[in-house]
Amino acid sequence: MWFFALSGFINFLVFLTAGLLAGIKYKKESVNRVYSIFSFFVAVWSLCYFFWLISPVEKSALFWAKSLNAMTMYIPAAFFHFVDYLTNEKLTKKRAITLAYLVSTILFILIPTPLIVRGVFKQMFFEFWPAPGPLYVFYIGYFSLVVGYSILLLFRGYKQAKGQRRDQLRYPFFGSFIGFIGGATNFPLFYNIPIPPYGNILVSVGGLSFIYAMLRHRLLNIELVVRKSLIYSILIAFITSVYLVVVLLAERIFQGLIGYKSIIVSLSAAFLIALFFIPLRNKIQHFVDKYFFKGTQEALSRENERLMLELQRSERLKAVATLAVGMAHEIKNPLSSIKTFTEYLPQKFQDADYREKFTRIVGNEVDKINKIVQDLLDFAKPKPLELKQADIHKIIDDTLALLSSNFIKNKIEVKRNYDFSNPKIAADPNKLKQAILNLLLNSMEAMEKQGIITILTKQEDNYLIVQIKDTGKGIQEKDIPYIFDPFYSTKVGGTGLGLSIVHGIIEEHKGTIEVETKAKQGTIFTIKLPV
Amino acid sequence: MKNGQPGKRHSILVCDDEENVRESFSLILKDEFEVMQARDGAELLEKIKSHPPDLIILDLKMPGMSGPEALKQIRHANRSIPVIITSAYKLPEEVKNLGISGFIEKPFESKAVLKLVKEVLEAKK
Repeated sequence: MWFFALSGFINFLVFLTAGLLAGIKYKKESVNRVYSIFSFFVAVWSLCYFFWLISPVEKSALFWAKSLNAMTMYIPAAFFHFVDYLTNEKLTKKRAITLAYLVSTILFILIPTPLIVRGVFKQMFFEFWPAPGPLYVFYIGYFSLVVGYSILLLFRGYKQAKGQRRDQLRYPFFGSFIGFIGGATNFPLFYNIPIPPYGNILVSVGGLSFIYAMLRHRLLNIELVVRKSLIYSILIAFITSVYLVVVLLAERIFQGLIGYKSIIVSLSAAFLIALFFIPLRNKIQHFVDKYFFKGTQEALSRENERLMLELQRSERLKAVATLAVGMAHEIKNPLSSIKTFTEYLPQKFQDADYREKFTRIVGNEVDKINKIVQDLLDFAKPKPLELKQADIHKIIDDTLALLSSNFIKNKIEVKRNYDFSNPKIAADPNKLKQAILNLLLNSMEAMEKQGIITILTKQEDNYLIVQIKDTGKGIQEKDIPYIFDPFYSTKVGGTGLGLSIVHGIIEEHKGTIEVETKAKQGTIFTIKLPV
Repeated sequence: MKNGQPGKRHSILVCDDEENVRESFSLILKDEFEVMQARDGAELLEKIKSHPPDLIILDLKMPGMSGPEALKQIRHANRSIPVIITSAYKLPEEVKNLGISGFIEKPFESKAVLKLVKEVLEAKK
């Protein structure tokens, strides 16, 4: 018996946690709200389940049995509601969901009558198992239909999803499936089929699968930013509660056996807690580290670094693609000369002046093409930081040259306002070029078609300041704190990495970067590099 | 009429910031025409004043004064010299309305350049 009571209590804690976790983003995301509502019904049902099983007398057992059944009436509708929201990212079956809630409400209203639960009776080793009223079978039908259909929708959503979305939906699908099958093991005893609800504990699997998907795969937009300590606190609260319930149940059992409330029982329970609590807590911390945080802190940072490199690479390739378009045009000038001079080779071969020009111009143009291709390759390949004395203006000019065709195409005028007094700094020219390139690409996108980019350099104390100013649409105030965060993007199709890479490169150079912006007037990025 | 005089060669002013491209045009044209060169918009306007050419070949993308800007100034000065545009890009719509006589996309064919230049000079007569 205590096993079943405990299963109810554990289910309660799991769904309380899942509901609260989803509720972190309560206001913003409606799907989170719907999941919190669903979790609330399951959690309250589980808590009533616990109180029902520890009820010593028929009256209170009947009260809790009716209460728990009242909650179960809403579980199918709330689950259906949530699944529709989750798989379609909006409500698509409004009418069916309203209908389900309507059925749930009618059944809920009927709970005080004997139509659904008519009393409690001894059933196997349960002293007060609820006996079904004439409408209970209708509820089982309704439950099977709505929950079965919802699981099917979830399965379809999971099958059709790709990439991260698929990972996000995998655990909730399998978890819900197992959870509901487990929960359904409560039904047989209602109709005298001697199968005890051993599966009740599996209800937790459903909640745990959501918690896992939320933390590990950012389902419902719950980010890993959720502090580790929060998760530990929840877990510690969780084990503590479970221990308290064990003590409570043990006291009840021992009271039955010994016949009086003994201080020895409480003391030994406290002793047991002390004995098992710390090792168990360590085990759980280890478990959390391994499965939620992908191993130890070190392994996690390694994994993050790997992902970051991978994404930096994809961002760099995106920049390369933009450059390639401009460079294709850049190559057309040298191609014109090479083509013309080779065309005249047969007829002008004897002409000394022609031969001299041929050698000089064709050689020169091939070198130009080679340089264009090399520049492109330099951007495509990641390299470790290599500091050397470099001229900041050459770095900026080289980067501007890479984009010159793109500027023309987008009607962007570039103004240079350089302070030539001391342009040398210790820098990795290739990396700084990439940082400046990303900022320029950003400015270019902000201006869409037409605008002015002003680049200013100046000396200030022991810093070299580089300012890149555009006349674009500016950055919205609410976005400013996040623009250097990886994955934060306000652009359609943006990876949100361009500026985070810039930030990383400037940090590598022990410099800082700041942004000032005005809506519809433009943005100024200010880079400060130590001289 | 200067241009109509027999034996007198037509003069063509090639304006492109790339020296090698100017040299390429020269190579194509110098056997039949007198070829002058300008490396940017400012030099172009200067040369038009001192030695008005019969035809201009003008690059669109140049540092300082761009091709279209130079063209606008030429037209503003009421000069009706025919202009052929050359560029690595497609001909932009707004340039078409500036009164141009032809377009050569880079990389170009020498025969096509010669043909277009002759056609434009012929039409001018």
